[in-house]
Amino acid sequence: MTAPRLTFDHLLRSEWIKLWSVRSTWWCLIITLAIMAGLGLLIGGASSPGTDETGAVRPVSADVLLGYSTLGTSFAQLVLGVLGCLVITGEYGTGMIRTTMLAAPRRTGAVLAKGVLFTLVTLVLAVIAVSLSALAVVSLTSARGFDIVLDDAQLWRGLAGDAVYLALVAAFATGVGLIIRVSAGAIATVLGILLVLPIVANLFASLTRSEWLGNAALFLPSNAGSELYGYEHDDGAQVGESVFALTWWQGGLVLLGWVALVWVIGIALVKRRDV
Amino acid sequence: MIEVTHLTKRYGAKVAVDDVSFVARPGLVTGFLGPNGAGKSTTMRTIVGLDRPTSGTTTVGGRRYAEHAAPLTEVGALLDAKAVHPGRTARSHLRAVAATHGIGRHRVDEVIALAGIGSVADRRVGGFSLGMGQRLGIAAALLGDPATLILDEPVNGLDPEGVIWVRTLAKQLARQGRTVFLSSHLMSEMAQTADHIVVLGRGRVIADAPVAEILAGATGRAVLVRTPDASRLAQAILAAGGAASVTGVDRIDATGLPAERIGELAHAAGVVLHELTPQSASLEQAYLELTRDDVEYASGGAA
Repeated sequence: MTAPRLTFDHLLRSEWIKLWSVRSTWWCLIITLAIMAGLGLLIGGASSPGTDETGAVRPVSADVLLGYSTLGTSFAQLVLGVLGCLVITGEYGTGMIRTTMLAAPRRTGAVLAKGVLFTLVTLVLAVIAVSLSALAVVSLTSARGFDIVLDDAQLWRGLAGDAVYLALVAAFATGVGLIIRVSAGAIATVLGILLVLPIVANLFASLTRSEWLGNAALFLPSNAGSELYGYEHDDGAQVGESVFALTWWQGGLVLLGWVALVWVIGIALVKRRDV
Repeated sequence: MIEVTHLTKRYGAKVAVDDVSFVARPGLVTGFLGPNGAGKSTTMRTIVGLDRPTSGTTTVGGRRYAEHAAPLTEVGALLDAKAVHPGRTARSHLRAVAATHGIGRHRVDEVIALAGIGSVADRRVGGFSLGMGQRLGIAAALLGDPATLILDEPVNGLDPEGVIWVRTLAKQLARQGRTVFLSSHLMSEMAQTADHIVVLGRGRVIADAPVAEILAGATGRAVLVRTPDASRLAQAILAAGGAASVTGVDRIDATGLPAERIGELAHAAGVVLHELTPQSASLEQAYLELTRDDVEYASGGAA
């Protein structure tokens, strides 16, 4: 038997045990799967692509399939955002953080291990959830007799991007939780940034007809991240005079930037504060 | 070995720990005493890196706690039994802590047995009584088989059997050459368990000595006298320069004179003695005298 040692992969293992030994994890992950698969089933079973000028039923194009398969994303992101906060704010609220920091007094390793592990778990879960949703959409629409267009790289990129988006949202939420430390405040902040800010920004942009604000709103985490699972109808270059759109990878990088920002701030605070 | 050197900790304007220095040596049980708010918990938290000192240093085994490659093998701490997630089972909690250092299930089972929580190990911690929670905390502290133990009020909530268990465990661990550093308000327990005492008052060290020395410093050793003629003997004691208060029909609490002298006074006055017992100094008495002026939160007199 080797002597006990504090190492990063040991911390990962500890976080694994912690994650799966509380009920909130199971609930949130099951609900995420249910939302994604459920909405995929609903829309796959209920929608119709409409008819064209000749009266023939249109085939279900890849962009529509992508939209259907990722319909649950705006709800699933909320559930994963909540869980992302709880994995860290739960430790602060219950006092468990003191036990964690006693075992790992340098602190950075412990919180990084938590973030890395949780993001990876969410990524795997998101891949499963998106796959279930896409499977439901594709099988139901083709079973109902509609033609479907599957050989479009954007469709597959979009599905993969959806899983990545959900994992990044989870990582973002954990970073916010690290900064705020209180469950209610962190959850409110995450949901506010993901949901409310885009609406408010767009409202102000249209009220004041401010192009600057409209462009800036594109860089909000959920707006930028949505490019990851959105269908691109052109190169993503300038749409108007000074209004532009982000490409899928630009959007992904912006969201990654948000994740990095909250984590850098969070870790700095963890090192400085008393536990 | 724990070395605290010129430790100061401020929270805003309040100085919780003020230039505190002491050493807790291996092979001894060092008791940490002080009124509420004296700075004991803050000092302990600073030693294990939970709080950052404003100035000064604390080392365990020669280095800062965070610098050890396997902190849990260096220090096992019970600072707060409530530092657990109530939704987890005791076993999951211990496994999670053990996993940080690659400590396996076998050791987890061992500490569960040691702490006597085998029957509740797979129950959620939220339902634990105070005593069970303390035992879980002690189990977690023992996981790494540490060279140093830091226990903040370890017998809090334990039944008499548990109190004896902690006392025996502390002394046994000290005999094995470990450093045992524990705080308590239970004076009678502390007197039986500790070899060395550090007393803190309003953030400062007011005593740092072996137990015997602390006890010897207690003044006002009383002598209990029982005699049918209490008032006459009391007067004789007063006349001889002592103090005497008649506390019952036949009871005198006398101070200032040794028991032998009181016996001689009784003989000279022709008073029959039924009992003449010197009251040995208690740790509680010594402690109260030491900290009389340094109590942060004092209750008003009994109504």
